[in-house]
Order: sequence, then structure tokens, then C-alpha cells
Amino acid sequence: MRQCILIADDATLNRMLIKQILTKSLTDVVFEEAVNGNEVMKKVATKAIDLIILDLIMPEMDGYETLKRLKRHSKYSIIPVIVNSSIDDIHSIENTLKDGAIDYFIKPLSPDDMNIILPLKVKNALLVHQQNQVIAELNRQIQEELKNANTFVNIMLPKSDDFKAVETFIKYQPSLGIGGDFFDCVEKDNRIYFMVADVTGHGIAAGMAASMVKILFRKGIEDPLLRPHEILEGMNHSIFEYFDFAGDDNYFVFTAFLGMIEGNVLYYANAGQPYPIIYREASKTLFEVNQNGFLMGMIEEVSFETEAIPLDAGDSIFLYTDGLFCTGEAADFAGWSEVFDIANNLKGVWYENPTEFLDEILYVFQLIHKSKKTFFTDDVAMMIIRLKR
Amino acid sequence: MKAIKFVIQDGLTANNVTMYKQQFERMIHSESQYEEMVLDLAETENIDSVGVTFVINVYKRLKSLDKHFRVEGASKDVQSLFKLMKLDQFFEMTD
Repeated sequence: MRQCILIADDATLNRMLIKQILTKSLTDVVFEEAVNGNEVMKKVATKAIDLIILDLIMPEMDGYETLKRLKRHSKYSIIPVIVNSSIDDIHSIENTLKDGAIDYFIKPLSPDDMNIILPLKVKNALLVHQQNQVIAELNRQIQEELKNANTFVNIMLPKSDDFKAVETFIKYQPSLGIGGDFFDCVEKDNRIYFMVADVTGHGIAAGMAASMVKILFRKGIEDPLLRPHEILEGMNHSIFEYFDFAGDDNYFVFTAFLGMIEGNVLYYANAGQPYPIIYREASKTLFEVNQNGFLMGMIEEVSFETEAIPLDAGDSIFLYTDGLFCTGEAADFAGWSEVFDIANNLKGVWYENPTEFLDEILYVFQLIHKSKKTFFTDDVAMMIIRLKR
Repeated sequence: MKAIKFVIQDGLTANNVTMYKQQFERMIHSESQYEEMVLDLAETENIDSVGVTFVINVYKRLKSLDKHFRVEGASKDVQSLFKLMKLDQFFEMTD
């Protein structure tokens, strides 16, 4: 495909000279011309320009301003600019290069500049621009794919207020547009089954694994006789049955907390998830569900335990993944108690408005990250399940 | 019991695990006369979930080779994490 070079100079003779020099050494290029900065902006808006050779002293809008506008623009900033000016002041050279010009030639051009250096630099600039365009297009496609994948992940999330016995409140913040955190909540046979899981790693691979976790979970709760630990054990066994890479690689390894509410009792089993927190409405107190177990998808023969906690109407369970406090430090596990302390301070908000509580707790951790000069590096998923009052 | 030591010198996190996997494989192929491998975590401050899966994979690989596996020098935080995930059921941790 022919590439287009825009020559911006108010002197006709200079534009012709540059055109002559480049026509001799470059094939497959066409030229556009502009006599001031305004014309440059009009040209880039209407034509696909691959390189601009820019004079600095021009009427209406000079080259300095034109360069600034081009480099500030989201679409045109990618176009390489070579300055060709009679100004030989070092500050001018420094400033234009700082502003984003890729090179600077001083007029009049020497024979070497004309015959060798300028044509080669233009050739290189066109090549780099072509590669940058390919990268930009790939990036656009990846962003589009991420957006589609994220829509898919959002479709999979449980919808609030769909249940007879409980209300659910969720907040999900994937780190790369799509993430490996997963939660689900199902009402079945007069029971509520729910699960929060966190696939190792994040991004598209983790998101794909998370969608499979959902299938395993839904399959696992089909048998009404199974208790949470048996469901987890069954899911773990299925991973080894269905995936031949299971146990050898960490593509499908995750932590999970699985709960089942039957009547007014919560039955649960934990596979490496941070301890959920329960809010007792009658006493307005919080406590942690501190039971734990092995990771899912690593070893085929592992067993989990089911424990039970009686609940009352209005009591609620707060589940979250470690992305909330994690920065990749082992000491992050202190983050579990930090979540409890912050939740305890915000329990009034939790009682009044669980959605606001989830927003607040995320905000507090944003502030904590900011003060430690860290940031969210992982997906964050939070869910509150409240027994209807 | 003849032991060989695998020292983790940096964070045991996702970005380093591929390198550690290669080092581990090279080590078990070049050494044959040993009965135990000690994973030395004394210099490791950072560990994430991918790092945890690496340790479990090392344990599993050595078990398949009929070798003993032990973690040594892990900080209190790392030890608590491993205990929380019930890894102490599978291998020993020493100071």
C-alpha cells in the first residue's frame, strides 16, 4: 500500500525540493502539501498521513503549535513528525524533540542530508509507523475481545434479588477487563447454594477457567444429598477426570468457598479462600468463618470438611477474594484481619445498605493501597448474601 | 539421607515461577544420587498463588520420583499461609 508523506512548509521551493529528494529514493509514496499548521490539521483529518515533514516558521499556525496539537491528539499522535527548519538554536531542537518530533534537520540541507540521511530517516520513520499501526490495530482487536469476554463474564454473575430466601449484593472489579474471580448463587430444592472462587493468575486464561468453574459448581449441586465438602471433592475429582493437564500445570487451580443455606443453617466448606465474615443482625456483631482447606485442582485425592453455623433472618455473609488486599506479599495474609477490622468499622453501613458497604470497603482499600504506594494487581470480587428479614 | 538444596533467591511470584520451574527440572535431571530435596525459602519475602502452586508441583514431582521433600527457612507468614492451605499435611516445614 502506498504511504503518504505530508510536507508542511510555506515556501513552495522548499516543498518541491523535499519532494524531489524523496521521490528519487522512495517508491510507493505519495505526497500531500500544506502551507501552515491549520492546513496540516485539516489534511490529517481527511487523509491517511504516514509521516509529516514540518517547517517551524509558518503563517497562521506555526510548526511548534502544530506539533503540540498533533501529539496531544489521540488519533494523530501516532504520526511521526520530522522537523525541517532554518532555526539552528539548540533550544528549538531540544523543545521540538521533547514535544515528540522524531528528528530535526536544519535548512539549508547539506548534500549528505539530501542524498543519504533524510531519505533513510524518512524510510525508517515510515517503516516504524507501519509497524505501530499494526500494533495499534492488534491492540484495538484485543481490547474488543476483552470487552466481549468481560460482557460474557458479567452475564455469568448472579443477578441480585432473584431469590426467595436471600438477597444478594455483588461488586466485581477485574484487573484486566476480564478476571479469574467467580461467584455464583443458586436457589434449588429450598436451599441456597453459593460459591466464591479465585482462579490463580488473572486475565483471559483465568476468565476461561472461571467459566468452567461455574459449570462444575452447577453440576456439583445437582445431587441434593451432597454436603459442601462432597461438592468440592466432586468438583476437584471432575477437574482430574476432564482435563488431562490437571495437576501438572496451574491453568485450572483455584481457591473456593462453597456454602449451602438450608432452613436457618449455613453449611460450608473452604478450599483456601479468605475467611468470610458473618453479620449477626440481632446482636449487630461480626465474626469470621475461620475454617480452611486445600486448593482445588492440584491434587486429586484431597478431602474437605463441612461445618455448620445457625443463622437468623437478617443475618448476612460477606465473601471476598484476596485481590482486595493482595500485593503479592506473603504478609498480605494479614490482610484477612484487616478486612475484618474495616468491615467491623463499617458494620453500620453494612446493615443499612450492603451495596454502599461494598463500595466503601473497596474505597478504603484503594486508600490503603495509595498510602502504601501499591495498587490492585488482581481481580476483586465481593458478595453479600443476606437472609431475608 | 543425602539432600540437595534448591534456594529461591527472589520472590516466589507468577513472573519468576517459569524460571524456577526450569531451574528445578535442570536440578533433578543433573542430580541423581539424592534422597531428599530441600526447598530453601529463607530469602523469599513475596509469594503469590502461582508461587504456592509451584511448591505443590515440586512436592508432587519429587513424590513421583520417590524422593523426600521439605521446605526450610520459610518466614512465619509463609508458614502460616501453607498451614492455612493445609500444605503441612503433605510436606514438612523446618526453620
